[in-house]
Amino acid sequence: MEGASSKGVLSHLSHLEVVTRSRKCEAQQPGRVAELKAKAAALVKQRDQLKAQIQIQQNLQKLRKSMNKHSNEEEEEMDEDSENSQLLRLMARHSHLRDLLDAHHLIGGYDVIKTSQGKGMCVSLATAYEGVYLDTYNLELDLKPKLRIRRHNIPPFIPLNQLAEQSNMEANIKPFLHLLSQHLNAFAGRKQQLKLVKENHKSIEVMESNVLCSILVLMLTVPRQKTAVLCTLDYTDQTRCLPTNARFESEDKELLNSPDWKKHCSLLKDTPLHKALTTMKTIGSIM
Amino acid sequence: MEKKENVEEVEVLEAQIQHLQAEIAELQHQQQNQDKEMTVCFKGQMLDALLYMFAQKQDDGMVLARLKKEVEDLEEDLRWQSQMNGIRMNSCTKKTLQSSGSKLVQQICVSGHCSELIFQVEFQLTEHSQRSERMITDLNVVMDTGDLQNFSSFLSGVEETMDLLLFFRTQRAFTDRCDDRRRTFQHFQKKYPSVVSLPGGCRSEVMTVNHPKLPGCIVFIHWSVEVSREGQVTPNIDLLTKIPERALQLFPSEAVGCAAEAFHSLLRILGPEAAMESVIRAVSLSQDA
Repeated sequence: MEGASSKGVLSHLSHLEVVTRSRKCEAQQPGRVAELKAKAAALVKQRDQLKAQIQIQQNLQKLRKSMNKHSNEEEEEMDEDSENSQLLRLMARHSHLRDLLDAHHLIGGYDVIKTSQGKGMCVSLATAYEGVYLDTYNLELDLKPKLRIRRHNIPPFIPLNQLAEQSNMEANIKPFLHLLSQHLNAFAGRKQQLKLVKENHKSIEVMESNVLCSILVLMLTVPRQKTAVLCTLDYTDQTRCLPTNARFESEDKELLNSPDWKKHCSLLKDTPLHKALTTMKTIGSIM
Repeated sequence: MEKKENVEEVEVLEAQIQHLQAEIAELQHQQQNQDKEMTVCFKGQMLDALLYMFAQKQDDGMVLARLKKEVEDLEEDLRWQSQMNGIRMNSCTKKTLQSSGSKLVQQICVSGHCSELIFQVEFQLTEHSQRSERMITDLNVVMDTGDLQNFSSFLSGVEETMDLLLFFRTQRAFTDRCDDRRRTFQHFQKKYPSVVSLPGGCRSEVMTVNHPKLPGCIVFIHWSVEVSREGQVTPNIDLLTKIPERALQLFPSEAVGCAAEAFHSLLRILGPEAAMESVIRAVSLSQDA
């Protein structure tokens, strides 16, 4: 009897144990299921958002493409102008305008900003040489009562007042800005050429140069005899990056009269300096 | 039994989640490619509008109005830039070729016109944000250079040196000088209609001057605008005469032979408009010449 009932209790106990364990599992399952369901719902939301975003982007691109073709024409009126489609067209126009303004900036435009309720103006003058954007200079101008430069960060060796007078700035600002831009870009170009010479042609000594980079004296060395040749470059036209005059001086007069060196004179006058020197090295005239 | 159902449910959910994650990864990839094709900037009002469309942001009824105001401001700004820069932009498209940390490479295509000249420029722009460097590579310029032979050597030079800014500065200077010529020619044609004519139209390089009673004797003013390879824009005005042999035999004139040189002296002393006017008055046999 006892044996049977203890067996019975034990088996009952173990049965109870099993049931409890399985109940615990059951209690966890709903928690896990709920967790997974929540995660799946969040992913569905993310996926739908991505799909919507892609759709919006596609529509914007389509609208932009048609804007690029008919930039000046009135946009076609759509029959059903739901708020969303209105918004979409405004968004396309917004991004189109932003890109056009960016284009003005990239091509070296003046990036004009009106200030002081129309009484003033800020102008940026961008410089670049051989594809590399260099320094940008700024002018702050008063428009009233008279057109006048109030502030600027243009280096002192650029004759600002002279250029303003020369181009009659008070009457019309555009020729003045154009002339100033020419001077600044030419200066930036000459400066950049000098920088490239110092970087790429370490065997060539820069004996003399001025802040405006309008005069340059270089010491060149002829291979074999190791003769020294002094090269003077005069950039008398400050709107140009190329020298007006190039001359050589050396103890070896015969060398300078040779056809190669006469050609080098012309080379220096119509090729950027760093490139001309590379050519001269390749030919073997200098080292 | 319940346990078994739960296990199945978990398996189904886990499979669904995996599927969703794969779908999302592919959509993100698609979105990134699309963004590279035509890069759109979502900031400020644009971002508000985008979020509104996702119904993420609360609508205070003003999203459309605010975006509209910003668009109007941009249009005003564009008008101002176009006027100052003397250039009308029609389109600008940007494609992102490479975007990694500090380096951004974009393919940009800009088209528009400067006075009468239509241009299309395509280039690659590389920006290193850390070094604050920007440079242009791969510059390609397309212009309607039908009768602009003097521009072509400059154009090929500018494509080699990738001097985008120089191209636009030179283009503006060139169109300004051409506009000077057009205005001057039109002015003279209006003022002296019986004597002055523009056989090639007001945009051409040639203005002819001749007295109606002497149809065979023509003075040509040839005003060309040269563009050097370096981008220097130089106007050149020359005078040429066409006088029939018979007239020269009857009235030998040294003046005719030196007309071209004499005109150059006049140019130096009086400047182009006054020099041309004195030639016109001389030919028209005007009393107050």
